[in-house]
Amino acid sequence: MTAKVSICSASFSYGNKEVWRDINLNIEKGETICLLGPNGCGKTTLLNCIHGDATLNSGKIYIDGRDVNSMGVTELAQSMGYVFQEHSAPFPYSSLEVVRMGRAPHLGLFQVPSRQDTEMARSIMEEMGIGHLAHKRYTNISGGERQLVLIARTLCQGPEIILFDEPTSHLDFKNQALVLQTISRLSSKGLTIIMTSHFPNHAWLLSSRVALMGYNGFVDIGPAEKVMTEQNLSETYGLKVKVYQGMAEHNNINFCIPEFSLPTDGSGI
Amino acid sequence: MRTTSSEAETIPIEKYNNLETEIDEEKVSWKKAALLISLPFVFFFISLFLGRLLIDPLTVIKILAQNLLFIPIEQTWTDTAETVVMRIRMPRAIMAGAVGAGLSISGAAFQGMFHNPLVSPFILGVSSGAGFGAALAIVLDGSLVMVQICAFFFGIVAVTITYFTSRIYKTTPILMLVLSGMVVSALFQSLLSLLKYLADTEDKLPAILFWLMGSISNVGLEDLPVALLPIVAGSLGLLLIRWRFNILSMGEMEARALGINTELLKGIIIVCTTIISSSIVAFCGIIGWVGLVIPHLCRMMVGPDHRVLMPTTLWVGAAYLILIDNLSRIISPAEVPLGILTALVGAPFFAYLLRKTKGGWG
Repeated sequence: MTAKVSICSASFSYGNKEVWRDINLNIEKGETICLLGPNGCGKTTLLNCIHGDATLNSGKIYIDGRDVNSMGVTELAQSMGYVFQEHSAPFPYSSLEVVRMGRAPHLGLFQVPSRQDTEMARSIMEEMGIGHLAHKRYTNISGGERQLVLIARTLCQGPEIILFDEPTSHLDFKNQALVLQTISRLSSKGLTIIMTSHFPNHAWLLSSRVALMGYNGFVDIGPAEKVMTEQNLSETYGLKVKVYQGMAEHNNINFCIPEFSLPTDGSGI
Repeated sequence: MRTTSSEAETIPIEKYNNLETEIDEEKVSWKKAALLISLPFVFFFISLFLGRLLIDPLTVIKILAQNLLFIPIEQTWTDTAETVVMRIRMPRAIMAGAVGAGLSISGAAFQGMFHNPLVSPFILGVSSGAGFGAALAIVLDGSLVMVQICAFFFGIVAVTITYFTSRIYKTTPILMLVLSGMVVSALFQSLLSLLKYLADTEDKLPAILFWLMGSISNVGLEDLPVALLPIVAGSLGLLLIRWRFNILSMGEMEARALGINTELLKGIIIVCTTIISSSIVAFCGIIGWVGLVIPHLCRMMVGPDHRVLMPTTLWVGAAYLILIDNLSRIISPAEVPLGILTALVGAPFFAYLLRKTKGGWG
């Protein structure tokens, strides 16, 4: 069986600046994979390549065994959703309208969404517990609510794969948990999820596979417990990281925190 | 509404529901809709008996009934009155409505596409190009038809140059379109200035200046089909893709993620708006502010959803320009050029709207 998403000896560079070279990754159906790594290591670029927005210098990316670059935008949107990090909302549409936009890949150029499309958008919102937002202006709801609305819109596309670019950035503690919980529920429904994150702890919370990225490619790929060792994290992020284990009611919980220390070369404060 | 989470917790739920954040899209009140729909007809009818030759409304109805519905009515009016109503005022009012509708829907289309409230239908240089074309024809002693053809042609040329200047890497980023539009406008503006400088000050220069002010008094019954066809076709195109504006306004990258071929969509929008606006400019000169003000006004009335907004802008735009054209005929014995009046009314009105919407989107 072919992998849902497979990245084969892919390289990418902006002009002369190489971002990563010769990376390989297979993602199976229903898997959640978390891309971790320092700023500027090319996590988002990799998502964009998977989504067909950026073009590889060499190598191939396959979705269900098909080259991404050979697929049209509509076809891509039907099989893959993308929840962006940066997002400007110029017009105060109702949240329901924003969710309904997810039906676009299933409607022709001259079509407008039907009653069924609206019902579908509404029921997805209800199911996610954000039904009460339907008639609120999208520009007036909180950042966390907006993120959930965008996830609902992506679900409206009916995709099998969802890409998340730092889904919890700019969110407060509770909303981070809410979004992660939503992602975990989607994963348990069989969706394939690829997300980038700046929070290593999120990988444990989602008990996902982790692809740890350094400045020229993957450092290690595997289950969170195996990849997220003190040594790997410390080397990748360039600071000392401690991994702790705690006991919750039924299972172990891992978490990591950075260790503060003044730089030893005396260049600090 | 911006509240911190701690503030939000202190507001009870019932109070939340009353805040203006609630919008119920399915309900547009009947009264509002009826008023909106009847407005252009009312102004249209008024325009038929207004003017230097006052014709009373009843006579106008009789003339219309006889000429349009072929009801035999005993003629109690002069032939002049009939000619004025049927051959001068009616085509003019129809053209005013079409021009208002065309400019407004193009404005709404571009504001949605560029997601910028300051965008007018002329952003891609169509008016500068058409202005140059018209001036060129006037300087070269062209007939009125020649002026119109030249204006139409150069309007399209200007937009085409803008489009291809902005193309980088086989795509046309929105920002590049705006910047190229500025460049091309400036280019044609300077060429226009050159023509004005060279033009004979006795008759050519005034003709150019008068043309640039914009007026629909030149449009007669015979011109109507030619003038209306591009406006109707372009508007129909924009109406058909109206829902896609919602998606495009979220940004190009997101629109692509939602399965939209943004290059194709932008192409369709540019073609539709360009045939509308260059046809308008060719027949009526440069009529500013309508395409800027009306979409804002309509967004305030019916909200930002382009499915409703686009047809509303079309209709309200038509009513607005018929009204302004009526004003232009009655406020002074010598008719005030329409372009001057739309700016005179439009600019303060726009300022008022901006204040009312607090610089936002209504």
